[in-house]
Amino acid sequence: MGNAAYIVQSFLGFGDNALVSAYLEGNEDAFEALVGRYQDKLVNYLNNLLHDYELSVDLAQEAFIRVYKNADRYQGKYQFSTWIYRIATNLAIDEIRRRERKGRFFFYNVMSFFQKDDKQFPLPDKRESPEKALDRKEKLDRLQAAIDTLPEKYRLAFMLKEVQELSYEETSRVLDISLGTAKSRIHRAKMLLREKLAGVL
Amino acid sequence: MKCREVERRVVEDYVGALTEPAVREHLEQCRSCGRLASELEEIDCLRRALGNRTLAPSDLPVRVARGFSRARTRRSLWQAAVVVSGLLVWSGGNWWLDRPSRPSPAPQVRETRTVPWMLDPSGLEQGQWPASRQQQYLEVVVPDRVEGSVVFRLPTTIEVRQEGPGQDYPAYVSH
Repeated sequence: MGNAAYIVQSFLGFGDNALVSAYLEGNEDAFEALVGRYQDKLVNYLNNLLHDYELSVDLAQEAFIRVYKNADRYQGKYQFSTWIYRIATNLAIDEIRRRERKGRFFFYNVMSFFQKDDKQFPLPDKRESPEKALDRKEKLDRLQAAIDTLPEKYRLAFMLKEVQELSYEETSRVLDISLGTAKSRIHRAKMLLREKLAGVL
Repeated sequence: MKCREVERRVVEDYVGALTEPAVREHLEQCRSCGRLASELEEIDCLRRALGNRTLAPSDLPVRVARGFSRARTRRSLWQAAVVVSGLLVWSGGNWWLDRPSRPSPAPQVRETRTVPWMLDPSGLEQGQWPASRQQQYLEVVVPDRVEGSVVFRLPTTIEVRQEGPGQDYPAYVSH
């Protein structure tokens, strides 16, 4: 792979489907541009669900490799983002189930609450004072902790729609549920978060 | 506008809902809905920040490329394995077809008499039995994998001798 930033820039005007088509025609740089376009989103999404940065990077890598291997099956019927988020979501669900089987999920949550997570990089807002930045980080941690206590179906729907900013339609496709169910889950997730965070934020 | 409808709109799309004058007016008048809106506003601001909280490592494209080459190597190994398996199956098939035949079941030999009356000499008087050499065939049925069975007809002779009285059937000897 070449210079990632340069490649991402050179394919700036291309849609995701055009990049997949270019890759299928033999342009490997097109695939690298897709990786550059989605790597932060996927790692962030997986890390918000799993709270294990290295594992999230590994799973994001696995998602890209699966896309690479199965690109010829992609028909462009849905958006590329739907496809890659679906792969990432399935990988995350597998990991959550694996932890649940081993009874470690609670342990991870407790540990992440007490540990300082060096792998997270909150983007600094240069206008904020240090006090405000600290306050903001604390609020973010509280929101994250509240999201972690949501049932899995609400957590995934909230993460995709509200944090990753997919549309309702895309969220329903990623989770393979109806549009109405997706809306209902997101509504329920927000109301639960509001209850959990009442008086805290 | 009723509280239930305002709640639905605000929860579904906080920013969009606030652009509607009817919703804004209701939020100014209803304390409960106003509190809901302010709490959702806080969550709405924070969830955006959550989306940018973690960045991928700068070497992720390199890791992905390494994964590709491993995937390619695995694919090449699979392809090689398929080719080798194909060759093995092909050569095995050839060996199977060309292998020395196992001993076939013993050929069945049956005698065919060309002289019908010999089959049932009981209709003749004893004195009428001819003492002569009759041309006969031996039918040899050999099992065959392709045809099922192959029948060979081998010429032979039969010597019919008339024995003395008291013998019901003629004795014969095949050569």
